[in-house]
Amino acid sequence: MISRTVAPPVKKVITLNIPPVEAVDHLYSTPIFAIGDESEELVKIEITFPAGTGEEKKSLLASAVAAMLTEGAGKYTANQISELKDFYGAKIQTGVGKDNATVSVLCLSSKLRDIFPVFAAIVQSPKFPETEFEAYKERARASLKVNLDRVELQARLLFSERFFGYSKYAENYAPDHFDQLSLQDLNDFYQSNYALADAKIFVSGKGVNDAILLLKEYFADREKSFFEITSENPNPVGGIGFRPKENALQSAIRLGIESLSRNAKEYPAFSLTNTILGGYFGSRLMQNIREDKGYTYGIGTSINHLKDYSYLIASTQVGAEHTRATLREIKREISKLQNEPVGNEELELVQNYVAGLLLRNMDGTFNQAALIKTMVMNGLSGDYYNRFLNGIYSVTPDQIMDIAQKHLGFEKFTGAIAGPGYDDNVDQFLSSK
Amino acid sequence: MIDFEKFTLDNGLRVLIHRDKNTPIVSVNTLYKVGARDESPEKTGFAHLFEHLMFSGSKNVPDFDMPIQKAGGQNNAFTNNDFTNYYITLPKENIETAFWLESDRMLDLGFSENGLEVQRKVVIEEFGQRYLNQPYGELWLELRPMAYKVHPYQWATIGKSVKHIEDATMEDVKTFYQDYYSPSNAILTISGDVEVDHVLDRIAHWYGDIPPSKRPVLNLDQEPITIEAETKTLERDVAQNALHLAWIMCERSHPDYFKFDLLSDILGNGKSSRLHRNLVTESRLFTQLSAYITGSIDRGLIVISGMLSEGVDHDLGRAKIMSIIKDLASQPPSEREVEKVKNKVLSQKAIAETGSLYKAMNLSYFEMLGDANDANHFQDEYLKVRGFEIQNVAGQLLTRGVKELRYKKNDQ
Repeated sequence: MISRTVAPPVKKVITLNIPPVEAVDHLYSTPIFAIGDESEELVKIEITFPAGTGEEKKSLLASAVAAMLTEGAGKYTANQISELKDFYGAKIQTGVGKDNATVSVLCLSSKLRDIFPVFAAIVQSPKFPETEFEAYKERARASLKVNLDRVELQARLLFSERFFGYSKYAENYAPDHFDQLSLQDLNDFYQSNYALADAKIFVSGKGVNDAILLLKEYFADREKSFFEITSENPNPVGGIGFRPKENALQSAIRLGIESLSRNAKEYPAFSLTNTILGGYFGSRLMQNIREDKGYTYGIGTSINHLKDYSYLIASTQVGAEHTRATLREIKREISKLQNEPVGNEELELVQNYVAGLLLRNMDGTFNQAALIKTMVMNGLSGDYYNRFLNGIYSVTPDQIMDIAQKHLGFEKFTGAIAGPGYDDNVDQFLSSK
Repeated sequence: MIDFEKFTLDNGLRVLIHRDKNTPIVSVNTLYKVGARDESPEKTGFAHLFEHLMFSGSKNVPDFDMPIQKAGGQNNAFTNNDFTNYYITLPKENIETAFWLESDRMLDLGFSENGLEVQRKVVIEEFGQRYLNQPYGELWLELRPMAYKVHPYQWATIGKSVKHIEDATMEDVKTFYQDYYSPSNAILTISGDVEVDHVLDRIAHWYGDIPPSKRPVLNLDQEPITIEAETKTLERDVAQNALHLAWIMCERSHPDYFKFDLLSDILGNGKSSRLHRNLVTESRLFTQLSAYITGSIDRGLIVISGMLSEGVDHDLGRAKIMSIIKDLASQPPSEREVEKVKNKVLSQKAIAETGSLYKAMNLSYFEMLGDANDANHFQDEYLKVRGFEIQNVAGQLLTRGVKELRYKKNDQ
């Protein structure tokens, strides 16, 4: 007879088999990190540069430069680049974060030699042709206009202004900002922020040695730049701002507060507090606001790490009529964390859940490569994740209460709401008991 | 290549096991062959609402998510017009937890009134967040009924309207469960570093005594292919004019399916495709333009979707698209162009085989279509296609009625 009412015993994740994070080779002075797997069919090369939005002098510049890398480079026109990339079934992508930008190629290992000259040209000798730049601005402007109709982007921009407004990380853009970008701006930013000397290279999949040989064959040593991302901490204004969006059915809410950094002794406890509050499907916010009240399709919190600053964000979209009630519940859940110790069962659950998440980073070569990249880009040592895992298992209910009291006071959050008409004074409402 | 072994339990449950030694994570994927196509026209959105209820606890286990999370796992699900897919990933040592939970909700779902109430609200918020509160969010709610007059693909998985979700009763829920959530209508796929014999033994333990039931036979007529064209214009507060063209194509099992898929790639997959090259890069009539197929089991759609540049009129945009289709219908694509879209199929297949979960989903999907082996061989069908065959299916678009949905900016 099967006993269906009793849960099978659960085994804990004890250690993580973290791959080594030492550079396996160098391209001139630039470190190359690699993780090979001959059972794969694909190979991926990723190169990061200190070229994120935090480094731009004009808004939208960092993303314009990244997008324009593929619009003509070396001896290839924009059309030739897209033709060759598609012909060899290669994905060449650029991505921009707050601190760094990434250029990557992913393709069948058997096609890497064919597409590599194109990839090398994109990274080393983009041309930024004028016609393509005008066309890019037109497309990007149109797509930004469409996105500005979304409450989540409106809340994001307002949040950025209030949270990052007094730092280089503020994202403040509008469609007409594209008009202020010139070819000179692109070239200057590229010259100062895309030097090979400042890059880091990550290679993964099948045929990593061939990939490294190609890098050495095609990459010239550009003049050293030693550009370094400066530290700059935001100075959030506090309180909650509101941006009206007529006729919206839902409101987007975004709240943020400074977080401990990964190096802090109490970071495992902070991280678990985040998980309990809003870091997974079973979190208190999700259970309360989605599963109990049905106000939203989803709500969550996450911790983000900039070069020298970490912060926690809570975000959701809720039915407009539930905006106030949602804020009230968020406040209530935080206050519960501050005043009532977490039960052992819930604590054990999130400990195991976080351990499982960490284990997921080992799922296949490309996930392992992503983990190596995170460790290198954030200066985490090879034993960091195992220490973090042990730290997670030793967190106590008292520590979580302590963290919530010291670091998550609701009145210290800075927030933004975008949604339909709602002219009450939100700040006043929330500060009342 | 995804190696696997296939078994069928006495109750009809099909089991596929793929051994992947390069991961500490195991994926448990359960596909039920039921989707929005199986709904009655008066009660749409039901398969999807039901998917939400599957997480509200089952007969012997009050909560589904918590035990999975406690075992270090994650789970989720999605519904489309043809099937509903549930998946769990967790440390391989804890696979038993996945079997315990997944088999219990296959055996007997605990039907709670409160669960239904809450999920009804959550789905209505999802309707808002993903469809009604998004610019151009009603696209599929509008385009489907234009394209399909007969077949249940005429409604989206979220349902025809919020009203249908509000009206769902517990009675409906129970009937739906009895009809479709049975081992004989399911495919269970395991991917991870597991011993096949051991896992099969555990599956027999947890699933072996679940009784099968008979799936209702729906004799759906295929959507007829007609010459009737239809145009609809939506005036909305949107930032940009948009244009969508859709044609009925063949069913998934038809040999022309692969030709239509490659046709859509040549026309509008990527920057080097014909539509993008001509109308986005060169003439700049559009700021975005792409072509794709819906990939459904019954007759699907081939769709061209574009965002028009400021000041460009819908008629002009449509005429330019049609002339590019005519070019292709009058002359076969070059060898190189055909090779290009075939290469893309091969690299996309490799990309779809990274990570244990994708492999499990892939095997389940192809088994539902008829044979999990096709997950490893479907590319051959693409590689066989010749240039003139792509030319021929392009010609078919010109003789079929096109359904055209226009988004027009409100004059402000």
